[in-house]
Amino acid sequence: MAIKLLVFGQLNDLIAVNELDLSSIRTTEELNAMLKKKYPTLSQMNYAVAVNKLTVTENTSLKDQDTVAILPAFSGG
Amino acid sequence: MLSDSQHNRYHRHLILKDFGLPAQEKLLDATVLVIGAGALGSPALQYLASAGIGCIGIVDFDTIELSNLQRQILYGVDDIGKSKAETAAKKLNALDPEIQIQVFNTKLNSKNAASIIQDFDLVIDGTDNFSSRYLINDVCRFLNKPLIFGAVLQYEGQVAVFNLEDKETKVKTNYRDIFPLEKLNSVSASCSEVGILGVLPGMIGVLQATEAIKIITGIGKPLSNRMLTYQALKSEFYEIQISPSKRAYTNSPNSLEEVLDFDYEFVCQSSDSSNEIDVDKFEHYRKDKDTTVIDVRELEELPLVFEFDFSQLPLSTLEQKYKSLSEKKRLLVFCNSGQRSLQAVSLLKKKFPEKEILSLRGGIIAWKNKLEKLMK
Repeated sequence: MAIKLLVFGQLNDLIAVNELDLSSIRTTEELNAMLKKKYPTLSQMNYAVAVNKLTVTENTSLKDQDTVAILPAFSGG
Repeated sequence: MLSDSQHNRYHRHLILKDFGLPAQEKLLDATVLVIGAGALGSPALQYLASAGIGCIGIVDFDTIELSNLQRQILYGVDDIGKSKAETAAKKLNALDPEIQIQVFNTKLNSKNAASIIQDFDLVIDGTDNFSSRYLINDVCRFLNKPLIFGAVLQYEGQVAVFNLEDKETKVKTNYRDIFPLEKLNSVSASCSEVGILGVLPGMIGVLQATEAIKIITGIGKPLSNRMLTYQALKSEFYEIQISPSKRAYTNSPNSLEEVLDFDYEFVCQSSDSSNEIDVDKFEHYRKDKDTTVIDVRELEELPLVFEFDFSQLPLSTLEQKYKSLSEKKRLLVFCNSGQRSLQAVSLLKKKFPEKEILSLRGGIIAWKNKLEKLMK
């Protein structure tokens, strides 16, 4: 099982996707928990999770080849 | 009916397939409010005025500074110190004296937002802070106004159309469906701390104006229930569909009346101030003898820091090497933008609960920017 993780904006400064082992991740909640454990700052950040380009607001199961994007809120203008 | 000069001015629209006179007349009858006449507002306003929007409202309380000119393309050096909203109005009137401009030289707040927004057909959000963004989102939601959102930071931008019902699915979403306000005081840097590629808000502001023109004229498919991300370094667009969220209305007013008393500044306060210090405080503590300064960036990272002494302990190996930090009672941690250093603070606090451990907000980039300003 392999999912693809896409990281946007300033979250790139925090998360090094190539250092992560995502092979055992089965749900978006597992992914969130794993990321927040490895990167505690993430718990203080407002970000959206999209699975295959659709935002998810509840725990969602992931299947092989799914793409998960995490996108931070930012406010510059 | 168009006058001869209008016919001439809008000729390329009039001959455009699926556009023509009906669409142009809709633009001339439309009213659009642009909140924030800065980096997003500058290009959006110019194209809206050029396109012939009949009435444009401009909200901004700020004055023009030299550091704005890198991206706020409505202004020049002669405008420094002047009001953004009033200067923008003058420039747009020079472009087309026939369009009507309404200037709101004020800061949008809970009390005045609804009365300003209610007279316009649609709203463009070109502000630069979360409290204004959630406020505008909520007021547009309660007044049922389409809202064209745009935001930028460093090399990336987001654009979306909120509060506009999809004709087929009848679904209507807004900013809170993507980013519910569940975490109060969430951490996020601003452009003045970590920078912004000047041309990027140009891209996003033009996309916002494009969506406005599409919605008013009814051509094409608006960016509703979707958010488009533009990554300038990769030249990549990424689009996500927004699904309605059950958690959207956490920490939210429930009516327009409740907006009046809702403290947006409090709920949107950025950054965990207890672990973070600004450049001035960093400078103050850095010179204290009982302080160790730590760079948690990886070893080859730029910019180089030669202005002061520090220990290098990359975040990736911090947990193995933290023991070397046991001497001093205060640790000052920095990285490039202030994100990884906050992470390092939480790790180090577990190892050294008795120490004072602080992260430099905005990172070494903010520090260098501030130093550069002082040198001038």
